[in-house]
This record gives sequence, structure tokens and C-alpha cells, in this order.
Amino acid sequence: MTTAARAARACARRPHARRRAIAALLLCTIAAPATADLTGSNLVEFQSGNYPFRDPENRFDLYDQLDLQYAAPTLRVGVRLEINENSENLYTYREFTQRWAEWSDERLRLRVGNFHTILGRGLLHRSFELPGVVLDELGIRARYAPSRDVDGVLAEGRAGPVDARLFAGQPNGGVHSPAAEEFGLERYQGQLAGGQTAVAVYRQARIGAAYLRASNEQGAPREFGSGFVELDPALLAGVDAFALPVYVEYAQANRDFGDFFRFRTGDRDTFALYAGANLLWGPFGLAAEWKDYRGFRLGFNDPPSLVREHAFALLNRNTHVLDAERERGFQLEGSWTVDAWGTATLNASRSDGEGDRYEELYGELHAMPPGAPWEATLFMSGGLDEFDFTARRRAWGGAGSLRVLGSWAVSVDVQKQDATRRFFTLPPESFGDLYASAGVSRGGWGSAALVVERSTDPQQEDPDDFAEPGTQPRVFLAGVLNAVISERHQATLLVGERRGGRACTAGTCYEVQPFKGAELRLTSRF
Amino acid sequence: MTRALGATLIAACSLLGGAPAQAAGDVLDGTRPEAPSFRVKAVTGETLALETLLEKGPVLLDFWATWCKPCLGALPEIQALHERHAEAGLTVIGVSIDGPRNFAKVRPFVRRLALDYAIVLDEDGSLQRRYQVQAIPLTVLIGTDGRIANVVQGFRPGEAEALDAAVRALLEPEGAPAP
Repeated sequence: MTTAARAARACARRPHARRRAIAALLLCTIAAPATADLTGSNLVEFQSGNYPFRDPENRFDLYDQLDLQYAAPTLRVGVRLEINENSENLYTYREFTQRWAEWSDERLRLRVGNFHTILGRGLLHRSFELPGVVLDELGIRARYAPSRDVDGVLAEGRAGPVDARLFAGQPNGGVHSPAAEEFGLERYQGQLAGGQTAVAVYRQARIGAAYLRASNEQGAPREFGSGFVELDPALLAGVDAFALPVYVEYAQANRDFGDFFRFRTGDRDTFALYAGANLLWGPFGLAAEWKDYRGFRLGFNDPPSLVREHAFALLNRNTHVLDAERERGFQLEGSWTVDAWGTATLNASRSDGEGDRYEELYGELHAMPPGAPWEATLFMSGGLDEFDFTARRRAWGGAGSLRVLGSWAVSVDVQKQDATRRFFTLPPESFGDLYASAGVSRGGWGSAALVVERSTDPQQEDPDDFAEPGTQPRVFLAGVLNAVISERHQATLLVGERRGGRACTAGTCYEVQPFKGAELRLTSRF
Repeated sequence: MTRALGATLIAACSLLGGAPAQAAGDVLDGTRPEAPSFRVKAVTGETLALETLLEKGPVLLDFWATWCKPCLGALPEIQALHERHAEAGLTVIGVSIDGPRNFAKVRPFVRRLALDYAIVLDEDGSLQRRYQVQAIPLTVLIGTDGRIANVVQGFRPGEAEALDAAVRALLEPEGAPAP
């Protein structure tokens, strides 16, 4: 742990210092509109209820995340305060979990403290956070924001066609809350140091290289290198009838400089190869990607997964989670736009691991005629994910909205899925899921929706029904109300039962715990 | 429970912190925060610096992603705003927060919706953090004085019209007749 981080956390644990700091923050927050250089955002979530089938049924949880930034012409400083409280008084915390200072001008940016950055497309390193996502830490059940930041120093600069980035610090794995530190589970572990440089060559063609050194207390440091190139052959050739942007990146571990250029991709090598290309030609669009990863599940990187990220709830829950330890595969997505009518999209993805296969074929029709008061989407999807024991999956459904009375809209969303799960030699189990929602919304006011899910998945069965033969269907019913309180504040209230499971945002998946009760979320910016 | 109440108080205070009752659509208020500066590169290669763009007129930032369902409804409305007001000086920038896992899909998606304003990939998430993005779609309208004039989170019917009115208020001198 860095000295600065130790000092900050020690301060955060001293009750008097903490109270004073919170009071100062409050004053700053209230004074914010008067200065206009101090800005902030707050997310607070109240829960009254519990996981289904868990006592007490009326547990109260509060999670608050306050971000404050002070900006001067070239200098910015910021802090994040996180608070987790509950009626059982277990694993609570109030901590300044991030603090940073940044100086920048037109050519240079220097940042000290917590930051996020990326090398190439994330094969070697990507630090990030998912705005608005609040998770329960499994095991100790503490609520937290899963930030995968780095605590250290970052420098970025550009001069003419060259840009460069250097950083060093401790990475946050994003899997532990501040409460876990009580048990010796540090959020920030190990050390990273790395950087990249790239040069713009000709007509948007760019070539670059990245280096990363990772160390921890357990073993010898590991070194990684990558090279990437970005270009558009059509643009280079002066062809403007179509565009063909291409990106290729290759990374290796613990290789010397000469070895790197052999581009080893054998079974005994630790490497990652990613290539992506687009073809943009009139109403047609094509995205094609290829991946080949071995031994690249590093904990501080995030290679592209080449899996379609779905907006439909049932499909989003099935998103394949990349295993960069061993996966090779592709993704192709083509779309055809019929002017003034809509779009047809077809996506095919497949990847193979050590004996496991994931594949999906997805088709979508989206109609949004210009000037029409309605829009609608229909989809069909089929595939399997043996990494996740899903031997077969078929899903279909649609969503649409109709604008009525000027500023009002009504919307419906219906999705159905049939799947078969196969655990090793156990008999396969087949089940179905149904998702339906209906809602109404109005500009400037908000929205109200009723969401119902029905599942015959044995993993979702009510424990009281275990004695019954077969799997008894389970129904999840919830009402969701979203209100625009003002331009700066919004509130979302959920009452009922929310099904848990995987959720994916911005290409990153996480587990959402099931919940039964009432949940109120307020988001503010000031 | 006392601690929980204390925390609730903190949350309530933070909620009240920005409370000088701004109705959506109010613009050019002196207490509006200054828009964080940025210098980014569009997918077509051009460099976009906030300070330079503001010399031309107001700037509208629209944070979106290919996997965001409400964004699909909002993006054609943003395109319409761009078509209506680009000549008068409005610069629209679409900021894709897709993340590197979905970057390959951004350009075909943009082509599909026939969006012809500048599109930026927020590769390291720095624009999201500077503009405090908690949910998408999020549009931020920046006046030529460099201050944030209007913020709309989410997309519902009627909000495009409110945003259009806010843009017009920034483009037209006080008292000038509407076109």
C-alpha cells in the first residue's frame, strides 16, 4: 500500500477526523452552487427488505456515494465518500475511498491518486468503473461500487503526431468493499507500472506499443508487451466509396524484445491476439472481430470479449463471460438499413475454450419510421454456452413504444426463453423464462412500469416447493417508478421482487443479488 | 440505526446541496457549473477541443452506447437537433461509452442511424467521470460562456422538444424573434 493511501485510510478510520471531514464535505456540498467551481454528484440507495427467503424480511440498508470535484483552470481535485449502513450493524463503513489531484494543459495531464486508464484495447491493462452500479459483496454482504481503479500516478502527453501515457500504482480488483479490509482483504493489491506510446503515421493510420510490469508479494514480477496498429486501407488508398477501419493488437508475456516479433501463438505461449474490422458501405455495416487469448486472465486487464451485449433483459442475463485464460473465436455483426423504415441486424459469435464452446446466432428487426409515433423491435436468438453448462438456449421476443398525447408514451416488452442445462453426467434439466413489462412515461416527469418474470429454472425454485415433484414455477413481480424531481435530481423506486443473476453493462458483467422489498435510489448532480 | 439516520441526513443534505430549484430548460443561470474542459479525437480523426468549439457556438454532449435501448430512441432526435442548429453554430458530439469490448460496433451503429455529427470513443472513461455520468442517455448542453446550461438524463417523449428550446435560447439573442 502506498504511503498516501495508508494515510488516507488511517484518517478515514479515525472517528473524529472522519466526522470533521464529513462535516466539511457537507458544507462544501451545500455551498457548491454559490462557487460554481465545486461540483459533485451523489447516489444514495435505501433498501427495506432482504434477499428472498432470508431473515429478517425488513432489513434496512443504506448505501451512499458522494463525489466532489473542485476545478480551477488547470487544476482539479476530487474525493469520493462511500457509506454503507444497515439495521443489523454488520460490515458497515464510512470511508473516503478515492481522492485525486490532476493538473492538465493542452499537451500534458498529470494525475496523482485514484485514476482509470487503458493500454491499447485493454489486453494488458484496463482500469475502469461502471457508473451507477452498486453491488453486494458476497460473503460479508457489504454494498459497494465495484471500481477497478489504480491508486498511484498517471502522466499523459502529446506532441505533434506522438502521444504517450505512463502510470504506476496499486490496482483495485473491484471485488472487495472497504468493509473487507477488516478481515485483511485489501482492495488494492500488488503493483503495476506501464505505459504506451503511439504515433499517427498517415491518414489516421496509427501504430503503437505498450509495456506493463506487474508484481506482488508472492512471486517474481511479470512483464508484458503489446503492439498495435490502427488503419483504414480504403482511406490510405484514397477510396471514399466505403470505409474499412481495422485494429490489430498482439500481446505477449515475459518475452524479450527479439522474441516479441515472432508473434508466437502456440499452446505453450502466453499471448493475446485481438483483431477488429468494420466495413461501412452505403446502407450496409459489418463489424468483424477475432480473438485468441491464452493465459491472459490477469485480474488487471480486460480484453474484448467478442460477445454481443444485449439490451433485452433475458439475453443480457445470459451474456457469456470471457475466460481469457483460454478462448479463441470470432464475432460477426452485419446490419442493413432500409432508409426511412428501420434496420435488420444479424450477429454470429463463437468461441472455444478447453473443451467448452460458446455460440450465439442473433437476429433483430428494428422499425422506426421517421415521423411515426411508434417504434418496435423483434428479435430471435439461439445458442449454447458450455462454459456455463447451458447446452441449448432459444429466445425470442419484442419491445415497442407508442407516443400518445404529445409528451406521453406507452411501452411493452415481452421476452421468452427455453433452455437446457447439463451438469457433467447428471441428467439434463430443461426450463423456461418469461419476462414482460408494461409502462408509461412522460417527458420531464418520469416513468412507471410493471415488471413480471416467471421462471421454471430449478435454481430459482422457492425452497418451500422443493418437496413437490418437478420444478414449481416462480413468479417475480415488481413495480418501478422513476421520477424526475428536477434537472439535478432523479428518484427510482422499486417495490416487489427482483430476480438476481448476471447483468452486463458496458461490456462488463457482474452478479446482481435477488431482492424482495422496497428500494429507493436518488441520484443528484450539483 | 442512529448511524443509518446520520447517513440519511448526509444523503438528504447532498440532495439539497444543488437545490436552487432549477426547472428543466432554465438556461444561462449564473450559478451553473463550468463545463469541464476536454480535448478528444473523433472516430473520423478530427480533434475536438471544448474551448475552440465554444468560439463557434454552444456544444451539446450526448453520452450513449450501442447496447442502451433508450439511446436508440434519443439518437435520431439528437441528429435532428444537429441538422436544425449546426449552421447556427451548435456543435453536437456523441460520446460512446461502449468500452473497448464494443468499440468495433460503434461505427456500423452510427452509420445505421445515419448520424453525421462527431462521434467520440471515451476509451478511458475520463469524459464520463468529468461530466458525472451516472446513467445514459445523458445530454449536456454547454453555453458559449463555458457553463453547463442544461442536463437531461434518460429519454422520454417531449424531452427532445425541451432540449430544442434550450438550444434555441442559447443561439438566439434575448428578444430576437423565433425563426
